Amino acid sequence: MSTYKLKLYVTGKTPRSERAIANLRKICEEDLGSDYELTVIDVLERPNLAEDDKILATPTLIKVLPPPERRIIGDLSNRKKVLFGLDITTMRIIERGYNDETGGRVERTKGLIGRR
Amino acid sequence: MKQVEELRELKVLLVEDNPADAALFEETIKEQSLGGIHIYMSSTLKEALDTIKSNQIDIVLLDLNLPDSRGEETLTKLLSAAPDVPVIVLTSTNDPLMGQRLIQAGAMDYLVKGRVGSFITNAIYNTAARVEAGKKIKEAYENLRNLLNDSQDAILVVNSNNIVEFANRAARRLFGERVKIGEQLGIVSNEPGHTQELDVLRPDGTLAVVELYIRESLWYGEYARIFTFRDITERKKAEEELTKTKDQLEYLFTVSPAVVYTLNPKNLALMWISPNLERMTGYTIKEALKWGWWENNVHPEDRERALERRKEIFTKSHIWGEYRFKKKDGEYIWLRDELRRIDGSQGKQVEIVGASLDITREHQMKEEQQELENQLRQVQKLESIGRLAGGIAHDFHNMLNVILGYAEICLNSIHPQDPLRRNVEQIIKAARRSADLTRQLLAFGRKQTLHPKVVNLNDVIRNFENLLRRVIGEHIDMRLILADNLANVKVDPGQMEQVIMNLVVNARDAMPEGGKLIIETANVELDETYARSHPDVTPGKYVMFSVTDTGCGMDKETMSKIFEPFFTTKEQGKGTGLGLSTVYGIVKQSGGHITVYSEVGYGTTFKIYLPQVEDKETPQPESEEEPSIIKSKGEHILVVEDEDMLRELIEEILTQLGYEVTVAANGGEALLLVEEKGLKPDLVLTDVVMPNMSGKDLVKRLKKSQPHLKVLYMSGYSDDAMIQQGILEPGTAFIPKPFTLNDLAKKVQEVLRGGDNKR
Repeated sequence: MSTYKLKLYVTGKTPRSERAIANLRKICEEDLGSDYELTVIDVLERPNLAEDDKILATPTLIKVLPPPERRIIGDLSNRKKVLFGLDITTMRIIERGYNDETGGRVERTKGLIGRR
Repeated sequence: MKQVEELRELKVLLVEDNPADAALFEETIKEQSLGGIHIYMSSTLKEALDTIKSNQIDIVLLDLNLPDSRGEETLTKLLSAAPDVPVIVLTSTNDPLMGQRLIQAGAMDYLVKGRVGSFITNAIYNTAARVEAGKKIKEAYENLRNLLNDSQDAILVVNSNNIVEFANRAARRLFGERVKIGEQLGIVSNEPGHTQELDVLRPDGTLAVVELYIRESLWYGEYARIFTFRDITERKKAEEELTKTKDQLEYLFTVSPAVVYTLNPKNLALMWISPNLERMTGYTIKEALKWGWWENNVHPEDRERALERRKEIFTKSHIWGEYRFKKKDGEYIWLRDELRRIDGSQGKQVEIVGASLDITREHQMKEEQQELENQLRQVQKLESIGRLAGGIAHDFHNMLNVILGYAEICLNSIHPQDPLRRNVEQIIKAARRSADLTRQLLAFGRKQTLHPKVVNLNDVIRNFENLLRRVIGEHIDMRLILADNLANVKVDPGQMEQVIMNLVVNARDAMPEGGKLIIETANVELDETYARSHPDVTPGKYVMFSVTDTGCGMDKETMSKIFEPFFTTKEQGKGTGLGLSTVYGIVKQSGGHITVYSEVGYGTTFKIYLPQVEDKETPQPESEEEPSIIKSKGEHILVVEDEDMLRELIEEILTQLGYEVTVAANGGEALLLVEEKGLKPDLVLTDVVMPNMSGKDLVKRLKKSQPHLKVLYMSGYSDDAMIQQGILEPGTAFIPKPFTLNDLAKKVQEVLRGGDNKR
């Protein structure tokens, strides 16, 4: 089972929806490797799911696993803020140690978190 | 707190069951408050609650141990019955822990009995002030909520547990049932500040685009986050419309032939220009916006005019102009430029918008049109001069014939040693020269008799080459570039020789210091395009024949006149001014076309185009056997000529030659002689053009009664109409005027000996 379980709520095919999907796919590929499970949900098609998750506005990204649940709202264009908002960077920094040479950027560690 | 006097009297309820204590407190308060505090007294909790209800008590001083309630419970009981009233507790035990508990339970303050002293009044005032402040805060929040409710932005206040504390009206409209006060909201961990645009599904199912702003704040003293959603759906739609319009405009600019721009209304500097500029001029927008770009690229000859014209926009609302403009690759194009001033109304600024269109193509067409008109005028001019010259020459020719004829008769009758003989010879010489000149004029006027044959121009030139070389001299290098398989043309070879000779002599005279002379032939096709720009050309296959020299060349002015008769650039006496006129006439009469190209200092090329003839027609070899002169056998000749002098001359000549001559002044007279008087001539010599009855019609009539009658036509000219009448068909005997005695003698005998005439 994947370490990360993510849900992305979007509304139809608005420019914001499409930007968010593209941005998230990129972040997932670059930062989470294959260690994630992403479900994209259109609130127009699945209004009940959106209601259950109390979605007010989209795009909303929900990190379901690992707990605690975190939500990020917006088109996810700022990778750093997304990772921070989802508590992902924090975990990596703790795990890998702060890298002075790269100015705090964390090296790619594909699949590493999953074997933690 | 501005004015103490305005402070209303505080209603204080003292709840104390011990009368001594009560009296003490009352006295102390009265003493210290200067009458600003009205004291009510109760000795039981029940009585206290009644008093609070009926008297709008501001502050309660509460002894915990009462007959109907004891201990800390007394406070909670009172607060649960009257939750809004501030309470100061009076205790008899000095226990800080208990004091803390009392505050937590809702007491405003507590005082230890026995130590109350002056503190009691202070405590009352403090509490009153705090209550007052609390009310103000509550009022402020009330105002704040009202304001937030009025806001068009949807506003949510969420506490630290993600419970919705407040949602304004716009938020309830935007989110409907999804947001309920007191319920939890999905935890959003975005940092405070702006987020990007978001989509929101409104309760009615429509979509909204919103901007979210998250602020961290205090709400009633507690940490909270305030979410402000601004509905930008309309703005977004307008933006999208604008983008669409912009895209459409950009597309229009890329496909539009016109470049659009705006100018600074103060100094006419370029402010904005459409991107299709690059396609039209090669310049980028960045280059165009540099100072002086436009001015520097307008053609220097047009610059001043174009600049002046532009400045007119200060006084006019619409102007336009045309000028040449240098593209980035250095090539000039013609631009049509239009400026429009849009005057600012309602405080708007004056704007100047312009559009430039590349009209190079139109300009070229206009120039071509002008060139065409010039050519047409030129052709027409030559045509009319030709008609005039031809007309004069024709009459003149007849006169010369008479002069020449009588002079020859004179000469024959004068003794060889007679001194007058020289004079007569001079007359004949002058008349012959004049006849030559008129012949040339006739050639120019296309009134000359041509004997067209199918020939190959290469042969004509080759046969003629040696003579040409002698004419041009050794200082000129003559080269022949003759095309293989040159097509045949149908021309009068003798006239063509004259054309070549005239052009070669002209070329020679243009190169007194020597040079090169090139004679070239080629098969060419003149197409529709060429014909369009040369009004006198029919499209088709032609044989081109050119004479090029490397001489002094000529300017345009000269070039426009060279074909006019008597126009010469040569010194007086050296040229007649008829050489090129003759060439022009012969070429035209042969159905050809002539062009001249010259560059001052470099040389001149004459090109002559003659229509090709079918391959089947083979050149006819020259078979001019000289007929030997046989003396007259006294044959009878009927002469029909309307010109009296000429008729008499011919009669004289023929009589001298030994013929029997009868004359008639017109066709009718001739018919009378033959048909009525029974005249039986062996030959009829008739003019072609005569009043009432033409020579041809006369012959037709005569042949009815005398089918074997021999006929010789004579004429001063033979124009196209005559050729069409068949007069010049091979086999038809014809003698052009003027003729010499010998010419006539030869021709008459030729016809008489030639047996049957064709008609």
